[in-house]
Amino acid sequence: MPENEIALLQQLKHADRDSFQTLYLHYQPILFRHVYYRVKNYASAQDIVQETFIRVWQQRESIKPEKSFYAYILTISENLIRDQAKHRTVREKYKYVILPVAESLGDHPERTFDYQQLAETINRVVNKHLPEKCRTIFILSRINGHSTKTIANILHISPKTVENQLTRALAILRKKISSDL
Amino acid sequence: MKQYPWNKWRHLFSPSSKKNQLLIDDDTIWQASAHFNMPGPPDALESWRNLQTQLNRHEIAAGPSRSQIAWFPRPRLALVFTIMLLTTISLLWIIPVFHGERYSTVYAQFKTVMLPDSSQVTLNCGSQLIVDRQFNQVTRTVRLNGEAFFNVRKGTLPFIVETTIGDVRVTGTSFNVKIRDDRLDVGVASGIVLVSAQDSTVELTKGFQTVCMNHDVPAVPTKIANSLFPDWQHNRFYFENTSITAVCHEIERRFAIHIELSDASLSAIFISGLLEADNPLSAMISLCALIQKEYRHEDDAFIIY
Repeated sequence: MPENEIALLQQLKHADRDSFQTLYLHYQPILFRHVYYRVKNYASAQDIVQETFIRVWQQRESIKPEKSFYAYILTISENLIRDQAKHRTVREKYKYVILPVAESLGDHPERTFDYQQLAETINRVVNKHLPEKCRTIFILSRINGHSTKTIANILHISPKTVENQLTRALAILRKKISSDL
Repeated sequence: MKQYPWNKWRHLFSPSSKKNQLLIDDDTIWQASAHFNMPGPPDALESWRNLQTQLNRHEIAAGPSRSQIAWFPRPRLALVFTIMLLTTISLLWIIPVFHGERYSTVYAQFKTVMLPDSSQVTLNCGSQLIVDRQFNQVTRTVRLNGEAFFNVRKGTLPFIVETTIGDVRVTGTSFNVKIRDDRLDVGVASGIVLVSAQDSTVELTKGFQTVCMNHDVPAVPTKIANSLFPDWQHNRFYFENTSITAVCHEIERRFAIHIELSDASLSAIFISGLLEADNPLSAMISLCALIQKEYRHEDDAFIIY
């Protein structure tokens, strides 16, 4: 999280666009990866992230600087995801670019293929079966690549809670993937 | 057996297990979960500009907010307040003491600054820009440490970027300036730029770059090889025969992460090419693919081995 997040949030409450920009540039990619992991549609994820920040600006006076800003924008975007699921207005405008994940695995193309298919299965289980907090922490860790300490800082929780939630996520994933057979 | 994708992992099944249970372990789930095909996020600066447009549109459509209505119960009062505000702004503009502005970015942060002459400066991560107190009066001078992309509006006053190594002088153009230790890199996207150091000046035109190293004179201009120039504005890292240590520093600066080399001999590696810079994982994956090494994530550090 930005070093001076509390100060930035206090300034945002007073309609300071520079502070808002700093927060936006920091959290936009993190939130985008979370939303994309949930909706798996580039244009929808982009729209939800933009709409989330519009709502943040509109409701800036109600922001509580001492609380986790990421948790706040996550709540807004999860509500938007739910609304979108209800109305099903998903657009299929853009095709996404696949990162060259395979390159890192060098001599094991089969392993790459298997890993990617398993990653898709994990995605379905995460979206369907993980509780919200558990899911948030799992995505921050595995998709955004944040460490336990960073996640704890972003969400204003203890590192122990992060570890417990990740253990819980793995247990649910292991159980669900196995029982789906 | 039904054809599930994980039939490919038959070796993980225990033939004797009850209910044909899959013995997929936490480690496999942990590793595989990071292999989800995730596209790079939309360009943050471009999205920010779009968001600003949307916000302005929303605010115009919504009209004055409730709090604004409470502040200006009568149109005349609003007019008086506006005049007072404009007068104050004008005074601040005239008095030079208020001009000196400092802008900075920390690691993993970008910032776009609009200067009083409408020139635009985008600061890369970990950079500082100081705008001269008398900017737009005698000259248009700024001082830079770090890296920034300049889009300078044409004007009669020369626009000067001062650095600890050399100066960059233009009238109206777009270019990138990067300072790292004793090295200054300048590349031009459009227009003409003059780069001066040690009483020597070279002229750069569109698509050319120069470098000043160890407080020497600027090198003879060369063509910019990278089609995605400047790399950092296209979510990429571009390196030309760069040491792995310097590469790691750039990635650390970009994502505010910590990278360690497991073995000192790795620091002898030099690389050339484009790396992904959408997120820390994509950067580490493409770096390790390029140098044919692996990485692991331990505590708060990425360790290359």
